[in-house]
Amino acid sequence: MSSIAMPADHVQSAKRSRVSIKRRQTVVKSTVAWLIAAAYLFPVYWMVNTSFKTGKDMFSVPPQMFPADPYLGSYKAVFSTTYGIPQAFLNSTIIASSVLILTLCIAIPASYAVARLRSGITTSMMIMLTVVQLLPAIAISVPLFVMFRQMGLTNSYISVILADISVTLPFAVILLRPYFKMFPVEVEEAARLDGLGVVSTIIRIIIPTIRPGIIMIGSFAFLMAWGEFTFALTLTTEQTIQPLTVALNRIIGQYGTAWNDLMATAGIIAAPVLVIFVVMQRYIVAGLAGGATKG
Amino acid sequence: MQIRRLGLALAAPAVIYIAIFLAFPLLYNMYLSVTDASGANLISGSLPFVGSENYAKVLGNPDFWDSALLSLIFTVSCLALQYLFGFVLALFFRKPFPGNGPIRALLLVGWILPPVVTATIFRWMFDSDYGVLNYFMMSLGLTDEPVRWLSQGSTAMLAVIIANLWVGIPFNMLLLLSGLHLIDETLYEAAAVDGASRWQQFTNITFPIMRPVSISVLLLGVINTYKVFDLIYTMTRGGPVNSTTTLPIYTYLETFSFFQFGTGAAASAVTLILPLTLSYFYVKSLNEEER
Repeated sequence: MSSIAMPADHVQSAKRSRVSIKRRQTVVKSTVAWLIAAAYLFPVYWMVNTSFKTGKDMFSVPPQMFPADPYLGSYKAVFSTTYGIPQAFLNSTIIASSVLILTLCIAIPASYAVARLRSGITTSMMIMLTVVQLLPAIAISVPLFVMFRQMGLTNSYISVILADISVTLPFAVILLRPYFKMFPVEVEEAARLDGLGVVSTIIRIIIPTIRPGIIMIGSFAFLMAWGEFTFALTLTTEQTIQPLTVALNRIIGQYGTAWNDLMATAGIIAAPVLVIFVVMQRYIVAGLAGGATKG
Repeated sequence: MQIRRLGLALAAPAVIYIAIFLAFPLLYNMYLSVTDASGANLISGSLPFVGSENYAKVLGNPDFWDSALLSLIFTVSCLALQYLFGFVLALFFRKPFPGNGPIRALLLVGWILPPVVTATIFRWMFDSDYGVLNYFMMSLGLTDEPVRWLSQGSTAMLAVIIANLWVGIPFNMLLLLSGLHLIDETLYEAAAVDGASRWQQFTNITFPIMRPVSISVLLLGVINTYKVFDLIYTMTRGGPVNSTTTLPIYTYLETFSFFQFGTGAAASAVTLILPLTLSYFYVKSLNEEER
């Protein structure tokens, strides 16, 4: 028997080498992952890099991989009135903020209702919401354009805001419902015994508790409206109303070769999105994975 | 009973909203599709009934069928590739390693960026003369002369697909990863004890368990890819010579370039058939998962 047993130091070194193989595998895996991420993010880097190039540097062959002498002219051009970007930035802010506020105002009570009511109405409402969020925007744009035209609302913030909410509202209710569902009914009943009505229970007790979910959905509604293009393109023709996404397309059409200016504009549109994403990343990712697979 | 009433009152704004801005437009679209809603008629306010004439026009137009084929090519290629790459990445990121979390989040940047931004960046990278992509390909010896990515029909669709994959792969990874995390680790340990190889573990455990998640991901993928408009429009405007005019682009051009709201409505009604049918299966798959 004793002949089979390995000497103690052998066992030790076998263990150690197994550990070091594992460690090496982890290092290899991390390195590969960072390389994938770097390759994946190259387009974003290329946008930033191009936005800091002069017209001449932009077309140099081979392309400059790093801006040797960062040029700020593109950002100056974009912020001047040449392309109408400051106005478009303001329009995007007005539209996206209004969508954020209105979506929450409509979605919060509705989510509470679909979370708490047990009836056929809630099931059919959830199915309807799931289906409508899957419709192509362009299919709704055609009738919306005609409707808004007849009401005299094309070329107004209102038309774009209302159209955008048709996308954010179903999303918001679907994602908010689980938060209301998870809130313990007992706490709600206790609040009611203390004399609070349903509405004030929602406002004073439930909303503060599920704030992370509300912030996540609010920022998501903002991001969706900020990046929305189809409705803005079809419902507005006047620059004074058009948001950044349409302004960007306008610049492509008119000044197709000013790539540095274009990349600066794209960067300006991307910046708030990236900031919100970095701050909210964990909530947004969890909420969305849940929303798409659970419904 | 009182709570029930209140619940209905709380849901009312959302219900009314959806009725006015989603349900009504869909019905109104059906109405427009059987009228001669040209720009001039819209202004005068009289919309003569034309029956199935718009549908006959749309379905009899070879351009429409070309678009349907392009939609099919775009959707199927994007779907297959983003599912495949998404799955591989999900398996790669399944077990923790240093940097796993932050790197995974970085990969989602492409998906969170507004599609018009993504499209503009790719448009610049695909530029035939000064695009960085041609530079890379030529330095690696993959091609001798610049590829005219977006200015010739044969490559424009490929370029659009590549850009859309950049958006779609991370989303597929995210959904598949959340599915993978639900698999019980002890199943693999038991299989390893029984002498199952890595590949056998994948085909006998991972893939079958991931089937329901995969079905949801694929259904959602078809619906979301089929409706892509902003990315393609910003990159190519549907060109060159209609080579990237998928159905949503066709509907847009039909409606808003020629102000033919009747035929546009008919085109969008036909376009809606696929997502509406698939959403039935998607809702069903969600309900089955919940059980």
